[in-house]
Amino acid sequence: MPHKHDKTEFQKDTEGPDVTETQVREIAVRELLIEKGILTADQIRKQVEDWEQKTPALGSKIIARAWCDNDFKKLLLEDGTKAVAQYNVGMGDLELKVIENTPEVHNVVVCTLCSCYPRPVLGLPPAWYKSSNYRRRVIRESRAVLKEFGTDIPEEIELRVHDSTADLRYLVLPMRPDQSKNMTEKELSKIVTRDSMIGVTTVRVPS
Amino acid sequence: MRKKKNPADMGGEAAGPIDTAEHELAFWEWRVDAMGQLLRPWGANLTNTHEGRRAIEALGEDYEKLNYYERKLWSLQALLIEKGIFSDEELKIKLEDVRGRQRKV
Repeated sequence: MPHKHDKTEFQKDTEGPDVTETQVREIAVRELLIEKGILTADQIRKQVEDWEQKTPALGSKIIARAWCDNDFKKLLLEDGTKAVAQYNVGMGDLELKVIENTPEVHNVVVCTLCSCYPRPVLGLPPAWYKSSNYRRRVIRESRAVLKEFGTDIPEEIELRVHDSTADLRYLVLPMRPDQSKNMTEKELSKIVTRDSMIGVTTVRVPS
Repeated sequence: MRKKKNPADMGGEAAGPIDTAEHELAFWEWRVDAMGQLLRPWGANLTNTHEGRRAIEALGEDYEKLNYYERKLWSLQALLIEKGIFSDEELKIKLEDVRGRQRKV
């Protein structure tokens, strides 16, 4: 995903006039790591490039497949880490747990202590996921928080909040919308949003 | 209410509305993220997620003052000094050197 550069182009960052004290520190730590032979400039550049490519589209593809392929869905729910490996996704030393929304249960994910997130599947977490207000509130007033995202979960539906850890990352398998019966897997993948895989929204067919 | 163990332990506290605006990362933020990842067990194997979290929680009063990637950067720096990759003094000299090359805002 292309990104705008917050006024700081690469060259300006290292040479230009608009460098903050925080940026000075980033440059200092980075240069020390390179001078000490721990990392190379090229490794850092490539890592940024690689992560810029990781978007929620991969997660959407995986969810659409699960909606169309029961065997895959079964594997995804039983062993998420193994299932996503089919998509060349390495979870490193992390476990991926996929949790299924049903007519009875709606799931939502948070990391109250920081920002743990299924990054290999969804890319970097959105700013609100890392925000202190989301971390503070979603475990106590979950329904109110979801309402702020435009999601109304009726009282008769159980709402489960999953608190991620350094080792265990959660991904929500949203419910397939009723109106999507005639859609192909590819079409379905286009309607699965990042926020629905975190659980703060549901998947809808655009009218 | 129980005494707070660490500044990151905020789950369940009362708070205001959630700002859902999307934030695009600045270059320095991408690079802080990249450095953190590259030092993990599947990279240079100098540190891991647990140590990273411990170092962030050890920021104490600074925790609230710093933004997300500043916390990552400050904690990364602390871990690297702790592990003897570079010293406090080396970092000080480097910071001065970098500052000398910039005209700050």
